[in-house]
Amino acid sequence: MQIGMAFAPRESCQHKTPMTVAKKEVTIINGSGLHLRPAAVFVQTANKHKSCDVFVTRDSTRVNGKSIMGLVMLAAAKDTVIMIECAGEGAEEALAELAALVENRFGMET
Amino acid sequence: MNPTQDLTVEAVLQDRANVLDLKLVSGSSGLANRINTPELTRPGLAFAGFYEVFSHDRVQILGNTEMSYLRSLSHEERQRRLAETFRFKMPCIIITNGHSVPDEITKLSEEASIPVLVTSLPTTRLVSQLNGWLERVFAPVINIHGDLLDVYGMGTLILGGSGVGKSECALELIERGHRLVADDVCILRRMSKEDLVGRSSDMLKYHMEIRGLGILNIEMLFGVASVVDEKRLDLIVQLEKWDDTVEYERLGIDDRYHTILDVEVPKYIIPVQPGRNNSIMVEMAALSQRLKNRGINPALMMEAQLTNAMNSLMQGGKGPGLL
Repeated sequence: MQIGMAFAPRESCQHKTPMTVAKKEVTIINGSGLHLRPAAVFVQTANKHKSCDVFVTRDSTRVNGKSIMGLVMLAAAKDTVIMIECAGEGAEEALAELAALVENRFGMET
Repeated sequence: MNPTQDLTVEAVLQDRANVLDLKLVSGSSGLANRINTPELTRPGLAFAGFYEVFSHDRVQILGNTEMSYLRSLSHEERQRRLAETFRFKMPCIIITNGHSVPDEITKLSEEASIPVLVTSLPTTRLVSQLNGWLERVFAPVINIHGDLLDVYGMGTLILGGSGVGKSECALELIERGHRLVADDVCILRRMSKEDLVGRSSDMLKYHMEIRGLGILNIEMLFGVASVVDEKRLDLIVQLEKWDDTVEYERLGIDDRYHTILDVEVPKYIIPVQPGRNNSIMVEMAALSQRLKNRGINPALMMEAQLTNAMNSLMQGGKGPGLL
């Protein structure tokens, strides 16, 4: 059976330096999961990294991490493991920031 | 159906039982059997003892032919032939036309954990419907970051980097009477060698996200005529930030393509600049492609006219008038 995969438009980032890819698996720990507000916070943070593509994968569904609609499609509830993947300039920093965001419950719950 | 999951007989029953009037008769211990191919087989020749190239890994369909053949055999013979066939690991067996299930099959299916399902549908109907559905489930799938719309009947996928204005352009097109298929995440399935069909995920269907406005429900805002669930992909329009160093298409003589899942889709690259009406550009791309699909290319026609005029000038003719 074919596996669904995400697609990065070639023009999405114009890389000047060699492409770095950084990946990390994180678990959604906030009670309400990756619902709309957390998704918006995630997308805003991802969008700060202009020269870096962000992808989020759950099982075999891979979406653009700079798209609210994409994250909503994952329907990632509490305890879901998602893979964050950053590619491009500043990938490591972007990944660190995004992973911390998920691990800190998107800065929303105490 | 989630196409990325393994397909079990149980999943087929859950999803198709109503549509195909399927009922489980025996062999329920094999409901977790996997179906690995969209193809179906009629095992008539296997019953007759010919096992070469017997595609036992497919869903087996028993229609009138197989059932009458089995009935024509003596009990002992039937038992022997069926036992032979049941030695093969088959995912499941479907008996059509509401035939009653012979006791030998019921017994063997329990022993071999091969579910037996019965439908009231005639074989041809069942085969075409089940195969169509399976082809869909097994079709290669890809998620693409872009907006898919029906523009003048043409499935038009708008691509472009983050923030280039894909959703805004799509919204403008909807406002102009075109229809939304998917915003931001488009799920494309390859339905045949040259057909890609796009749709939205069920979660996002009819919704758009517009910076500054948030999430909009297009069906509620514009009515049911403004949305469509599924559309064949006909062309791609790629929006790019205007770059003075790039030479954009000026003629339209050479066709560009974008390959998705091995299907070549005609592509238009449109530079975006403030004050340029992008939605009209997309409309024109869709209409031009419609003409091209009918074999009409204005650039080539102009080229032919030009060649004619130049030829006639060279032969001492009058050439085209100035007025």
